Amino acid sequence: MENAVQDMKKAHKIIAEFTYEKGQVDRGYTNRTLYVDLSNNRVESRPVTEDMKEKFIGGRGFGLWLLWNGVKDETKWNDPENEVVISAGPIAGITTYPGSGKSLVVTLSPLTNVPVDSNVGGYFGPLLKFAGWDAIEVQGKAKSEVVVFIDGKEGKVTIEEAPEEAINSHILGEQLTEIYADNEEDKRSISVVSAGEGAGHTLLGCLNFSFYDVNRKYVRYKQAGRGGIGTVFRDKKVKAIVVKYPNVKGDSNHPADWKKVADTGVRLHKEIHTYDQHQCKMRTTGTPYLVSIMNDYDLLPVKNFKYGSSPDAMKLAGTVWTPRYRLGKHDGCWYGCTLMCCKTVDDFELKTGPYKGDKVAIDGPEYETIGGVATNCNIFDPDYTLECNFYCDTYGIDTISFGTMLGFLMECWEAGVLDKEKTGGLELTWGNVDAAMELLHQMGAGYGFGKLAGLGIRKLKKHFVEHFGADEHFLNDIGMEAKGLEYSEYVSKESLAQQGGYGLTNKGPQHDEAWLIFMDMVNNQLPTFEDKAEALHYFPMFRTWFGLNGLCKLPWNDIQPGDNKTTDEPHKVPEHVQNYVDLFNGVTGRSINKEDILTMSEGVYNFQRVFNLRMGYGTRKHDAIPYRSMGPVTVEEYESRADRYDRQLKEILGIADPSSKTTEEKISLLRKHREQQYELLIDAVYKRRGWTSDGVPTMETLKRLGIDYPDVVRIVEKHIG
Amino acid sequence: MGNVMITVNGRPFECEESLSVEELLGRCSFTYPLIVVRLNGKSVAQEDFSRVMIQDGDKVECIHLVAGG
Repeated sequence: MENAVQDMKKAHKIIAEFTYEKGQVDRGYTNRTLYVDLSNNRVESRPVTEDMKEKFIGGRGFGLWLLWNGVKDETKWNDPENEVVISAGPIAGITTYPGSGKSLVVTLSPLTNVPVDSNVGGYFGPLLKFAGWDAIEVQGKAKSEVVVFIDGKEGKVTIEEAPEEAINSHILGEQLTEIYADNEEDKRSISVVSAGEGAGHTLLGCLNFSFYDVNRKYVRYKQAGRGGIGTVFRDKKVKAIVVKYPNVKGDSNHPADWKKVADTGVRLHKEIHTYDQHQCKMRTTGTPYLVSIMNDYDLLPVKNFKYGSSPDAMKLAGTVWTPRYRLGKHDGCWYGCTLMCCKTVDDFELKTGPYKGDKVAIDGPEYETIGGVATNCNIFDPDYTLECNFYCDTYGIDTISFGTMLGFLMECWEAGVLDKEKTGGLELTWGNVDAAMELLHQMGAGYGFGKLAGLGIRKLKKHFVEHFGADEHFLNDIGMEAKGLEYSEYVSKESLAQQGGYGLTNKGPQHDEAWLIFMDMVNNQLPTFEDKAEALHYFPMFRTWFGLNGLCKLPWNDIQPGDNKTTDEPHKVPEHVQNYVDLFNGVTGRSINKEDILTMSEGVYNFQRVFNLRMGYGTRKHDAIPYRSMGPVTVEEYESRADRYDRQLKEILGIADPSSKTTEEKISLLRKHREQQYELLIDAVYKRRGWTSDGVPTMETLKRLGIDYPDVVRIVEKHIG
Repeated sequence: MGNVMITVNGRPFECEESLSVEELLGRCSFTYPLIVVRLNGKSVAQEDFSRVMIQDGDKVECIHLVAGG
């Protein structure tokens, strides 16, 4: 490989070069961002203002602010002025607190046409900061395939034509790590951001963020999955962005109070060591521990979210995966993460596709991948799940959108919307792993029915109605997308709060804003609309804060202190909330309290809502959700849980004898009720968030949060007169 | 012996006989590892789940300590 790689390196042609003073991180910030214009081969340094730090904090906040200033009101995802912005946040890069190496990526999404934010592990964000930059902002379009290289060792940024490397990530990551590392030991200094061929051929593109595993001696990847960011990346003809920074140290983030940061981490490490084995078993199982639990609570998507469980689910449970992992000394996606949820399966021999016969390492599968590409398609085959996971990643296709979209297609096949003639021969029946893999390979290479499927559910619905004569109402009911983004993998039918947790999001139905199903459906802790609205204020704001700071959500509540259950609000994990306050203050030298966490997030969250308005979206009608996420659409779906639904008709709607009605009549009655409930929920949530009844942040809200900038006010005034 | 009526998380729950906390969790398929059980407002330690019996009219709270997927 070494000779071939050296030939690739020789073929690089530097088309722009920018040198800079390396500088030093100060209290979590470098106080400058890196701007790269691919259309004009221009690279420049831009200052980070105190107002930026105060209002937007970092990470997702910086991404949204830079993107806002980079685009126009009418910018589309594939216009040159759209940007891909990557930023980690002030806490990111510390090595003493688990889950502190996240990057946040922001762009205008090809699926939703509004800003999408996606969080991802891997070393890129922290190394970018230590190399001298709080964010990288990539704008314009290159004329030929390029690599952007940020050399934090030499203080140099280059845009390089890179004609010979592969595009698919599992090869490209290895090639570029080899090219830019000085030697084997230096490979840990490299992180590569790449997409893949599928990202360029579909709208479901994700980004792969690499880190070099020094024990296993290969490159591993985490994904910024949601919203088609990889598609934008490939549209700009970026093959990769590479950062190099050697000599990461425990204090590279230069916190204001090192001892406070270190002490906070020590407490959590002890908790993990003591309790993880009795709680979520992240260290041995990772997120697949959720498969059997979601199945037990009827929340695991099966057959395009028709059902929440399957007798076959245990074939994909956590206990199946643990023996297949090669558990290592370091399974964190950034230094110092003792929760170590990212697992790897080694020496997996591929059975299909362009790499058939190759033995590869696969990062994952995560719960969301299993729920999407497998159970949601009525597939319960671990080998298929791994193969599909691998190809999605290397092609740069989001496993969540792929899985949810594939489930939709399989139901369309079942309903007669699709047949072999329309799919070019693919038999998209439930459980057909061969058809699933063939579709994925078509998407990766951009041909056949796969090219159409790569448009995502929203555009597929339109196509099937216009070209195949499909019933529009039926497709709108079963197509699990909102705002154009495919749902993540939880059945929300029996939790009104979680229906809001998906529908009342800024970017679309991803559960990283709020996951309220247990509090609502199981614990019955949110009986009133006001209770639900309060939860749909608190949790989205609290969780937004992770993305402002470069933090992972898992160490918040997938590990809990032994005495958490005795606290007043155990669902908030108060000790860990205090940890975050201490970390932020310890790093930045500021003095915030736990209430400030919410206010900081509120500013960014409301700014993002206004950004949606600016792009022509962001009002009440855009918070609509498919009925499949609220209740049973089909007769078989109702009858599969008839006891539950009949009981609800009796107890909630006062229908004395549901058996006197046909199933269709019962579906209709239940639907009318549930849709009304959702509208009432929207009213309550908008009120709690300080928005009008159309979902527009009021002027008072903007002023309270200090985001009443002239451009922001201009947008809001158009909507509230 | 008649059926036992209790409430679980504020909802009526009927069973044929008294159940232990452990049996109740099994009956409800409450398999999530982070659950706090309160019987008539008093916490039940996890090591007592198999020993503590639930009686007719009892109020049981099975609080799943999670707010995030």
